Amino acid sequence: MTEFPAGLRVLLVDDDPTCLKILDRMLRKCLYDVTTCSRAAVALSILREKKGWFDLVLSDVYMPDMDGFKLLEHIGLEMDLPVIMMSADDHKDVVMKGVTHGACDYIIKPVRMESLKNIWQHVVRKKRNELKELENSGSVEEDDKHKRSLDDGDNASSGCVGNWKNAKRKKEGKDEEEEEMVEEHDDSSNSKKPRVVWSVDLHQQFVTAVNQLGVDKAVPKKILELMNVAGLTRENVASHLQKYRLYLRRVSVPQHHSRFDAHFASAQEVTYNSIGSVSGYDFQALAASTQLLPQNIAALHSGPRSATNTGMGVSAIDQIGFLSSAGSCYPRVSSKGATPQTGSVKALSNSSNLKGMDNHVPNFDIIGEHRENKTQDWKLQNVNLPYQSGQNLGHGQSTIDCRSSLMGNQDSTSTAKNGFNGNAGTVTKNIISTRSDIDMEKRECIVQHKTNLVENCNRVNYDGITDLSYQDILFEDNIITNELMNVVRKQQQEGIGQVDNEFNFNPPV
Amino acid sequence: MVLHISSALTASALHPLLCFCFHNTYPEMENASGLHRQLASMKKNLFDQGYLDEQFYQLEELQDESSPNFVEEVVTLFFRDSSRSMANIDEALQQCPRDFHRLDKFLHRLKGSASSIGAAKMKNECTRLREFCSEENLDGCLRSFQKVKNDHTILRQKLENYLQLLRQVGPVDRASRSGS
Repeated sequence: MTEFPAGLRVLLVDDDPTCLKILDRMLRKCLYDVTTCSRAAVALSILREKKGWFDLVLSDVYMPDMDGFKLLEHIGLEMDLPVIMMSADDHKDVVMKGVTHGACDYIIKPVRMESLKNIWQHVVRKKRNELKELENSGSVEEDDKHKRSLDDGDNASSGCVGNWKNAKRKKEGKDEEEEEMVEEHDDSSNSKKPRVVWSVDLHQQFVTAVNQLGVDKAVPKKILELMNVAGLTRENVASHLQKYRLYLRRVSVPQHHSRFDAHFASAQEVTYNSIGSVSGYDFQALAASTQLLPQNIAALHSGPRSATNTGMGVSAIDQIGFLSSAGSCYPRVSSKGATPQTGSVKALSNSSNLKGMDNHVPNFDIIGEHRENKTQDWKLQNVNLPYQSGQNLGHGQSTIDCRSSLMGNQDSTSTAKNGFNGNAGTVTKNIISTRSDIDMEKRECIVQHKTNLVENCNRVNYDGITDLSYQDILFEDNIITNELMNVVRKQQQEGIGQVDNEFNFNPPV
Repeated sequence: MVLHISSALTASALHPLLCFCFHNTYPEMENASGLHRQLASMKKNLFDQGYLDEQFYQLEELQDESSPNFVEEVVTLFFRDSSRSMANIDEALQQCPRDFHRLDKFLHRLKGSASSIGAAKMKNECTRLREFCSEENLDGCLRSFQKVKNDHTILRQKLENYLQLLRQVGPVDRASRSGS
């Protein structure tokens, strides 16, 4: 094989002979090693026969014998390869479907050479992400196979590596209530251990258990007992705990810590609680309303971070923040019941409005198509960027090229020219204070991983945005989305100040 | 001679005539540069009239020494495949009761194909046709499909001429071919 990415092994699936020919030629011009087929069933059998051979699959959505999404699922289930979907159909819901089924990119036809030149990044990103997961979970393995041989509890890889794949395997299920456990037994050579999907609910239980035991004293075995969740293994918990501890370390902010905690302790604070739930709710809704980039979702998630290192009731925010930051294990964020969203939304939006860190104003418009006017930004986006540590992520740093087909159209208005640098950061900054020790590297990794769905996302450098798991955010409820949008917009028009107190950690009422 | 080209059809009908006249009136022009110019103007024509869009440039970019007839191959493939598609569509429009869902699938495929070679007019008309289809407006579908067929025929003719000339000109360096 010559210099990477030359020789990248791509399986191209398209039933249209004209497109197939053109794409084949384009890929070859990129010096990729191309195998073509025009039937999904054939593609699958090729993939099965030559397991581990291919690096990437490029597939059309509409095919006569099998829906491209089905193929996508199969591939995710069996081979765990990055899959890029293509279609002339740029309808938001179809693109969304691609996202939720786990496609790592969605290219609108007609395809241009430029779109294909960079597809190799998905392969790299995926591998990097898996490596990072392994590292983070304490495992020293760099090889999936090795991972498999480790049966021991502290090996976190089993729990989380490739978890996003599970997430993607999930249908647009409405099962937000149930914790989601997915056990996958993969007999491919890249087989991983059963994977757990750490939904918000599940994580909540986990956190509750941990808090009960005391964060420092919690051990997987006891946590497991407390959680009492069928099918969850000590290993899963152990790996999750490890991540959680890393997360806590990362987000811990001494000066605001106690106040924030105190505030949390009150827990009756509608705002906080609802923030948590709203976060989870929001982005789901938001995601539903727009082709929300995973980053955004993550960002939304991590909203107002609570930095709780103590056993204080970790709010949902924290959980979500954790979920979003911890890496690829948290594909699902189920809506935790939309209780007092209004309050929290207001809080979020207001706080974000408040903390005008002007130099961070992101132009990133999550809502994109839903924007009514340019200035009417979805304020919640300000809540993103948990990791906004006050640095001006500016233009160069986080240019997310939303030309991504993910956005549904090539001239999408929702281009995050400046990435979502900062507003969220603003909020969090104010809330939590400077977090200058943010693990940039990890973020970067996550971000990159996250921006799978964005073309040219290698230009995005930061943004503690979630990981791929958020691809899978179920963006079902447009109704809720719209309602939420209305609420938020209304809030934006109202005065902003109310939340101020809350976010400034005044002693709980 | 001055020609007022008032419609695409007229233009395409006249073009061969033009070429003929051109060749006969100015035999000395029948050399490489003359052909190049012809080729360029044909292409410009195709673009100006909206038959082709920039995707076609992508095709040309893909042609090189290792694939010297790429454009022609793809275009040929397209017309062959699309003719079949269109026959299917025709049939789907005739059958009773109309299965608009199935029809839409064909249309989607045709549109995708057309857009992949840069056949702009066809692609756009396909989009309109799909709209009619989604509304289950049979009349609209029939009218629109007729337009698609026309666009298809015209484009085929034009591209055949273009490719023929291309072959005559022989291996042309990209610059002169693309220039228009």
